[in-house]
Amino acid sequence: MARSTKKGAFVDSHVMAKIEAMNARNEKKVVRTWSRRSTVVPEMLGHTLAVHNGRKFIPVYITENMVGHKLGEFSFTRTFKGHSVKAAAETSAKPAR
Amino acid sequence: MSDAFITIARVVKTQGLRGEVAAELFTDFPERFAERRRLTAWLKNGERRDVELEDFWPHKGGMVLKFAGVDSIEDAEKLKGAEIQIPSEQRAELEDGAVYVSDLIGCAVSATSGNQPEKELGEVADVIFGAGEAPLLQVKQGAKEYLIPWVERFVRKQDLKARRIEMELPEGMLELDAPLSRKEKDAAQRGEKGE
Repeated sequence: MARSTKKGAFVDSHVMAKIEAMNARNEKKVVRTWSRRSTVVPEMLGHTLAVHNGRKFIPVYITENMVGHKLGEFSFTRTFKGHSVKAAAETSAKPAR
Repeated sequence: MSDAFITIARVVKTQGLRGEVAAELFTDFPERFAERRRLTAWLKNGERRDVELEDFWPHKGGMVLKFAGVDSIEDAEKLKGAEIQIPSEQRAELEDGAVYVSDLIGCAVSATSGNQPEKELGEVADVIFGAGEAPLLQVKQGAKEYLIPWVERFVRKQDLKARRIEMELPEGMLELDAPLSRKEKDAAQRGEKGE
């Protein structure tokens, strides 16, 4: 069953406090957090949260399309060794705006 | 591996009995097989062979390829493990702002972070997808490794021809694995993990 909209999205209070404090000072520092359960909310846009994956912190830059998802969704916990031909493949990447 | 060629697929196994092969894709443009009929197969033994694509169709996330003159499962077996390549100048044009991962790999990265002076971080070893919208640049220098989100506002200067990227990172980006401060430890003990 979905969470009641009356309550709003769940964000751990200590994460939210840090984001709000940074927004008030208009600064952008990387916030290290273990709170994978926190939901991405619009206040986090443009911030970088380093989300722990059980072994190390994965820096996650928050963009608009991530709102509503949990932070843990973006901090992968398994290692994909990748393809050996990646360095010579026709795959592209684009920086986030 | 030669820089003159780029790999667009790799033959994984034979498919069917008429010489088709199943291939995993290494291209963002699988639809371009329609115009790419003359290809090069880089065989496992290091030999390069020109092949002509007769037909192709998608299958289970990859592509089934049928080459001219490869008409039996025995012929197809010889292609197993081969990389299907095109000359690098035939790479597809990308939309504005996008670059090939292969062009990013090997670029030297330097960055400032917070009040820290500019620092050489190392070379891009890999580009990792899945951590949100921003691809992660895995920058390595010896045993030291940095993960840096590739975000437009973090890039101060990017010159892929000179193989160099200069970045301006938010404070704390280069100290992700730093030990917890006293304050953080106290917070963690109170059950408030996180900086």
